[in-house]
Formats: sequence, C-alpha cells, structure tokens
Amino acid sequence: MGYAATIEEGLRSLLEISELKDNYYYQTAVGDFYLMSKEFNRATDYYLEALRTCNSRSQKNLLKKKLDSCKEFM
Amino acid sequence: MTQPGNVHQLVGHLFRQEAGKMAAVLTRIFGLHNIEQAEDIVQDTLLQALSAWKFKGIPENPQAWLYTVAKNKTVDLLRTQKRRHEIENDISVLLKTEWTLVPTVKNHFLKNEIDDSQLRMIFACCHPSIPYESQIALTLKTLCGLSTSEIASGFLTNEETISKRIYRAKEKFKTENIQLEVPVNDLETRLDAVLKSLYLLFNEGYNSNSTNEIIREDLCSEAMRLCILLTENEITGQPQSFALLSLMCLQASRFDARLDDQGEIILLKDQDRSKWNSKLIGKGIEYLKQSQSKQGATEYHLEASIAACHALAEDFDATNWKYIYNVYCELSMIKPSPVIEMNKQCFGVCRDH
Repeated sequence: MGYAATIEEGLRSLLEISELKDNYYYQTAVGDFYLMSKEFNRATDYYLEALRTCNSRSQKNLLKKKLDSCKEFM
Repeated sequence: MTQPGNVHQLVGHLFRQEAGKMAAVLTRIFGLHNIEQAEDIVQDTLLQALSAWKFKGIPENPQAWLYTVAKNKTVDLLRTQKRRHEIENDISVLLKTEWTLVPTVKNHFLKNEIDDSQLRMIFACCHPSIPYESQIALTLKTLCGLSTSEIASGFLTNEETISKRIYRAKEKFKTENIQLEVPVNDLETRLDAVLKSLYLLFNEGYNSNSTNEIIREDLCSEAMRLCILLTENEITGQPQSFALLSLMCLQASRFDARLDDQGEIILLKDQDRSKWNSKLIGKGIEYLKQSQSKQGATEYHLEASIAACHALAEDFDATNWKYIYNVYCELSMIKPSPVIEMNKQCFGVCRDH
C-alpha cells in the first residue's frame, strides 16, 4: 500500500491489526477513520470502547469531544 | 547562607540532583553487592543535611557539603567496620591501606569519576537479565533519586509493586553476578538495552496517564540527563545514542503546547507552535546531525527524523506527510510492530486528507 491510500484502504489495513484490539489508541484511530468515512454509528462504537479501556482523564475528555462531534451528524 | 525556612524545599531539589550521583559513586566503592550500604550512606547524609541546615542555614555550596559528609561517612565506615575486607572490586586494594583509603574515596567524587560511576550504574540497572519494568524502576530509584511513592505515581501503580520490582532487580545483581562496568566487548547489545530502557522511561513521562505533571516532566528530564551522559562518553557516544537524544529533545520541545490550562490534551493540529521550545528543537536537530552513521539508521534515527519533520513544519498543513509516511514504512521494516503499522496507516491517510 502506498502513502496515497484512501480512507477505505487505510481502514481496511487498520482493521487487520488484530494485536491492538484492546488498545485505546487503536480504537480511537479506527473511530477516527470511521468518522472521516462519515460512518458515525461505527465511529461512536469505537470511541465508546476506547472510553471504556482508557484510564487518563484528559484522554477520556478528548474521546467525549469526539463522541459529541459524532452526535452532531447522527 | 540560605535561610533555614527554605531547607526542606532545597533538600528536596538536591535529593533529586545529588542522591543518584552519590549512590552511583558509593556503589562503585562498595561494590554492586553492597548497594544497600551505599544507599544508607546517602540517606544518612541527607538526613544530616536536613538537621544541620535547619538550624545553621544552607551553606554556600550545598553540593560540596553533601559530598564531604558522604566521603567522611564512607571513610569512617570502611575504617571501623573492617568493611574494606569484604569489598572485591578493581579498587579494593586501594581501600585496604590507610595511605590510599582517603585519597581513593576523595577521587571518586571528582566530576569525571561521578560521570563514570553513573554510566557504570546505568549499564548495571539496564542489564538484559532484568525485566524492562524493573530496569526503569531501579534506574529511577538509584540514579535519579526518585522515591518509591513518586515512581508509583508516575507508573499509576502502588508502592508495593514498585518495591517488589526494585527488590527483584537488586537480587539479579547477585544471582547474575552483574558487574559495575561499561561493557566494551559486548557494547552494542548492552547499549541497545540501555537505550531501550531510557526510551521507555522518556515515553512513560511523555505519554503517562499520571496526572502529576511534575513527576511526568521529571521522568523525561531524567531520561534526557542520562542520555546526555551516554553521548558525552567516548565509548557510549555512539550514533544511536545521539539519535535517541535528538528524539527526546524534539519531543520534549512540544511539552508546553500539548495541554491547555485545564490539563486537557491539545491535538498536534491545534497546538500553538509558538509555544514549542525552539532551543530544544535546535538541539534536537544538532544531535540528529551528529548521529549520522555509515552503518545505517536505527529506529531512533527514524523516529527522530519524523519528530524533526513535525518540528520544522511551519504549520500542520505544511507538514510533509509523504516524507513521514515513507519513514514509517522504513521503520516498519526494521522494527515491525502493530503500533508502527497503525501509525503508518494513519499518516498515509493524513497525507491526503
């Protein structure tokens, strides 16, 4: 895959990385890709999962902002 | 003399700066197997300072005061307890006679000897037989003068866990017969382990979940201080050491811009780049130049190149995403990992959107 990947190709490659399924950085990244693809329901699912696994208050707040931006479009 | 009221604050600051240095020097004298002895003397010295300075005020040169007390305590201990006969290292013969005992102890408190002792200690703490999490805890405790509770706060764990990690690491000193030396013969492998540990230590401070900003910045600055020690040494000042130091400087340059006044994260694209520390960026670029090597780039070279690309971009939109993506591709070849793969995909798409 070249650097000029589309969002869909990037997302497909990202979903193949099974080792990071429980990592909130990964869940956030996948959520961001769905957000860019305007798939707000799926983005919300990933952000909520990230919110569940994340311990940091500031990271949680960032995820809440992302969730709010999803809600605006849903 | 400083007023007695400031004693607690200054001793706290000195503890950070000097405890690690004194512990390294004294461990060099007593041997790695007697590290607790060295730590006891450091503790006694600081308690004596606290007690004396409270009434008399802080001396003009508190560092020299501490070193003199530590030297005297060491000499007294070696004399009275016949401890010198239990020491078996390259200087033990000099500790066995009264003629050479005092000058030998004094010489080990000279600047270059302190640096040498700390380097030896870094290699001991980051010995490959010690698990990484214990290496970091031991380094922070022994070389950086952080208390067990401060380390626990930095790692979001409890003191008991940290104490166990440190205890197990110290046991390894004995069971693995780890030597207090800069390993010339096995340098590359051992230096790799040290750099990895310092890299993790820095990242722990930079990405930590801990809400204690002081601890987080301390973790980063201690990792940088120890990395500087490596670069300043003729043997350990290898290209990969400079590359790691470059990476640390470039990352640390963004420290003040990453959080707002409420401690909330500010994403890279929204950061006020005028808050980035230009002095640290300059140093990072300079160290990156010094890290050039005929042997090719290490993971630290590549990560520092990515950080430099961000640091030199005028604004977020002007970032050379194509370059960053290509470096991630190279990175994923020399250090394949799911995290690198994830970043690669993210930056690949970032370039176009």
